[in-house]
Amino acid sequence: MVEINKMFVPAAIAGAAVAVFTTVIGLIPIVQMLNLACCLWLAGGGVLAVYLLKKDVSKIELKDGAIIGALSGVFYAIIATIFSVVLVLLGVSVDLAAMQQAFQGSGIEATGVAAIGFLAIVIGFVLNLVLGVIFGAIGGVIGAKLLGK
Amino acid sequence: MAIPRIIIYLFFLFPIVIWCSLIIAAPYFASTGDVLASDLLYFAFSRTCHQLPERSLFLFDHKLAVCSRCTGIYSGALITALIYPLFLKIDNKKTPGKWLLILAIIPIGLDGGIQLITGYESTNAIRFITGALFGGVLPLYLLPVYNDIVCGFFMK
Repeated sequence: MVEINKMFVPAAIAGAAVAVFTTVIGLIPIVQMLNLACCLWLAGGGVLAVYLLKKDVSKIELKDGAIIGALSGVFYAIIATIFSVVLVLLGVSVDLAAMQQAFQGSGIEATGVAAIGFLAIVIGFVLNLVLGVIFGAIGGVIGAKLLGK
Repeated sequence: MAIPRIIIYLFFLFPIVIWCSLIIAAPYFASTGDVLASDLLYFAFSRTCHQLPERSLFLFDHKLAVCSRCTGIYSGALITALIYPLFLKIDNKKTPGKWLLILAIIPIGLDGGIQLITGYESTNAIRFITGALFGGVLPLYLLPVYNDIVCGFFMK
């Protein structure tokens, strides 16, 4: 099994790449069609992490793929949330708009944009973390299987 | 501490069941007028899916929380995870060869890929079937890895 400290850099690079990519495709109309690839990008982070790790180690087991994929999901969640905070502050966050819509539609009196923005960031982080870890791990297993010998 | 194998298997199965239930819960809540619950579920699933209505299946007069292709992937994964004990040991740690995975990726890759780069428009049935083929294969790889990690952790 690959040592965990060898996994951090590839996982961080892959997580950052997915966070940048998903943020960009959510903002630019021309590339929004890439959103059609659904959860592929999150799983793709796991595959990318395995690919990067493979350059440093000779053999990767499937459980190594799962672990580094999950780790890339953690980095993705942290970096994507940082981007999310910036977008909320700039007032262009898709999450903020969705949360406002949910509260307005339910008839619950909104306590202000700042409170909803904070809620959007917290819920967004939890979702990013859970989904990033799950899909990253799945992508890591797929990557380890496909890229392994 | 040794944990019964069936419990370890159920811990793998349970999240998939919950996940698939929530996909159906979103349109159910929308149909009952529980806007906050349905909007939050649609919001949560929007992280992993485009949710375009024209590419989604409908239930209770509302679209499911994910598109037809994703519905296929999760349905396929759920069915395979459910019937897994009928064909293989639940504590199996051996995965099939990579070719089964590649064969499962080809239909979903072709259907989705060609659609993305050309004017070809697939149908929801094809999206669901190609998704189900891919999703149905995933537990064959994921459960053994899960067993390897969890059993290694709890049964040293």
